[in-house]
Amino acid sequence: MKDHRFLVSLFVVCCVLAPVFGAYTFFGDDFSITLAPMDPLYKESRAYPFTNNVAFRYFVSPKDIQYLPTDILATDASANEGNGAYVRRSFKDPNENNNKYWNLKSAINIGLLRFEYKDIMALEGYIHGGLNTVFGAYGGVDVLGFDGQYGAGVTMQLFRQLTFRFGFHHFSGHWGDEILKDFMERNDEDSYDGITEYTRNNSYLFDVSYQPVRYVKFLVEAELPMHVGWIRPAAHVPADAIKNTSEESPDYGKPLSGYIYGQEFGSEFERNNDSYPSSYKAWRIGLGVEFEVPIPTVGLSYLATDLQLHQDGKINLDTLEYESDRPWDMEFTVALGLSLEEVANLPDFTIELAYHDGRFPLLNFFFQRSRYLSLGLVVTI
Amino acid sequence: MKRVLAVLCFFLFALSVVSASFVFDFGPSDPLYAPSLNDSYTFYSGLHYIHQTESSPEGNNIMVMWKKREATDPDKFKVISYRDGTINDFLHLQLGTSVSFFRIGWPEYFLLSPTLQASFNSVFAASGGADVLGFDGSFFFGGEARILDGFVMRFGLRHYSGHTGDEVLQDAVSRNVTDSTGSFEVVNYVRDNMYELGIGYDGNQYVQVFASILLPKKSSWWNPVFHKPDWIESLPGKPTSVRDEAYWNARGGGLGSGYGAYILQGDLNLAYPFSEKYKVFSSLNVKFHQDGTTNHTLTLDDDTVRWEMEWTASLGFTISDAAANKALSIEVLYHDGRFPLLNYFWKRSKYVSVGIAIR
Repeated sequence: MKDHRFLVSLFVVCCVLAPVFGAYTFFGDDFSITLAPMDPLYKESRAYPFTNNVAFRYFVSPKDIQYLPTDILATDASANEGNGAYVRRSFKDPNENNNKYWNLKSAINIGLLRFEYKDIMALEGYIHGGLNTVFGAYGGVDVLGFDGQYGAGVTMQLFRQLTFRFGFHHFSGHWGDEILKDFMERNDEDSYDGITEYTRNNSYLFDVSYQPVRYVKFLVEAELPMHVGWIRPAAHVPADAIKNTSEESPDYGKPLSGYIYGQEFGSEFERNNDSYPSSYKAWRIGLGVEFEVPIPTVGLSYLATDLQLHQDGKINLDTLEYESDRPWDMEFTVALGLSLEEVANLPDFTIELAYHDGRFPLLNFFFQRSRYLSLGLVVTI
Repeated sequence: MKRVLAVLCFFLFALSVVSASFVFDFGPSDPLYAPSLNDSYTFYSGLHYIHQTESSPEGNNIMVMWKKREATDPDKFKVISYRDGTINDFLHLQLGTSVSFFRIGWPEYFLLSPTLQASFNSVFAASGGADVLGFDGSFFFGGEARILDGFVMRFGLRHYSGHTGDEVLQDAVSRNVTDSTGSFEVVNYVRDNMYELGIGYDGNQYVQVFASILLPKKSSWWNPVFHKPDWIESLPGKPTSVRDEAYWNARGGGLGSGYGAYILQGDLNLAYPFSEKYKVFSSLNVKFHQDGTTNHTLTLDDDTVRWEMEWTASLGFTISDAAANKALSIEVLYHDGRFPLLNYFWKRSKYVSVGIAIR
């Protein structure tokens, strides 16, 4: 909680200052203060599936059941010779024809308060967050899940080229109520001990982007779960992570992995991640490269690539063990967009075609590999 | 098709030549019709902290349907507890957007836009594990018009779909295990779809008024069944008396042709801009739900029930960013009405909330 005090205080200061400031420039036009600049200094990776923008996409996966989500990740304490394992339990029969989906994401990334000194330096408080969901474009259009994410922090930009962002970030996956109902009807309570979710509550976020010229940008994003927090699934919890406090479980400081195992596998299941190496922190690393080409009177077109690397891929969900020879889980996305951002008074309004090879684009389906081609509308405030 | 497009292009070109004020813009984002500053299901983004001062029924509960109970059983639909106590503090997250595909007309006389608007609405507990109580999806697709630079209207399809949070659902299942009455399923609120007609006047920067009515399409998917008008056909050619015969009989026949689960809504917005960038505002939103006359049951034994009313009032301060065509508001709201998630339509709630909104 202490980690957030500065950010909360910053937000309060923004609110208090809002009615006070009327003029924004000082020392000529060298120094300026902007309240609620909205358009943030740090533009997130366009091709990253969880970028904070508004998107409505239709996507199609290959007609291959290995890429189609039909299972929920459950827990079985008796599996793996009594050592426990995560097990797939179906909510729907695999059907290669059920390979089309709707993805609806509504998220924002805005600046709250910005200080600028000439073109040399800018400092900004930001918030971002939103909801992401996927519906099957077949049958009853069941919702597969909802993801929530939010965060806040500070961005610093130098010479309008090099931008650093630091803050906290929250990820929380939720199963769709309709598939959960189907899952419960299909699976006897004795056939599993619990189900898990994907949670990062919360992480530190470190981002850097470098735009040497108008039409090329490089991005590096790193997300590190906090030492004190809440992480699911239990097998993803680093060895030294400890739990935060809550009304329901106020025992602050207890080793987190054992606590989450108890939640997921049952209170009698005793296990922890003490055997994990100290280098394992459940990092997420994102790398992006973007190219823009202006189109006169229309806007611009872009080609954006994004590579995501997840350290939690080194955890074997069948054995609940860290395996040094397992690779980080990797995802790749390439997007081609036609954007109308040059039109005055418009947000970045884009028609985008993308290809993704990686995790299915819902947090709780982190265990489900997916490939798809998507076409949709993207609006970036 | 090519001929139609060619004629249309020629028509637009001709209009742009003969009238200097004629506009044809592709993709403006600001809606022509933007009534409520307080409605959970309107299309803006916001994050508010809610403190509930009163709720009825109290408790952490959801409404379920017990599958094996007869439709005539008064406990067929029942509010059950998923956790002890009552959570009264929540985070309310709304995320909405509007996209007008194009805008055509003369700003001083008549403007027309086809518009798609969509929003998510969710509520999380502001304590414990921040469990999510539910997610709502809503969209509007239709046309908007602005007349004489002041009167606005819109007509189109409005969709509502409630979803209960997965953590709540799991807790409810673990506390209410299957017994002789069989398992349950959560009662969902679905209106897929309704017609929405709205009119208003926003030509004055200090005072704006709006009114709208929502009425169901004849062919629409619908939940819960006890709200369902007689003439709805969720399957073609099968009105409620056929499609849901057992429920129809359980409630003793139809609700009458005058019942359509209509929703009436009125909005009054007051604003005082004291610069181009800043303004203070106050807003009142009032809704009337005809489905309140069912008392949310098939076995209605109270003939005094009326349309259900809810209202929300707000006071706020807005910082505008003309470049981004967006404004950030800091606001305080008071609500007396339904809990702000569709699947909790049966729960009355009074709360104060404070937060930010981006419109």
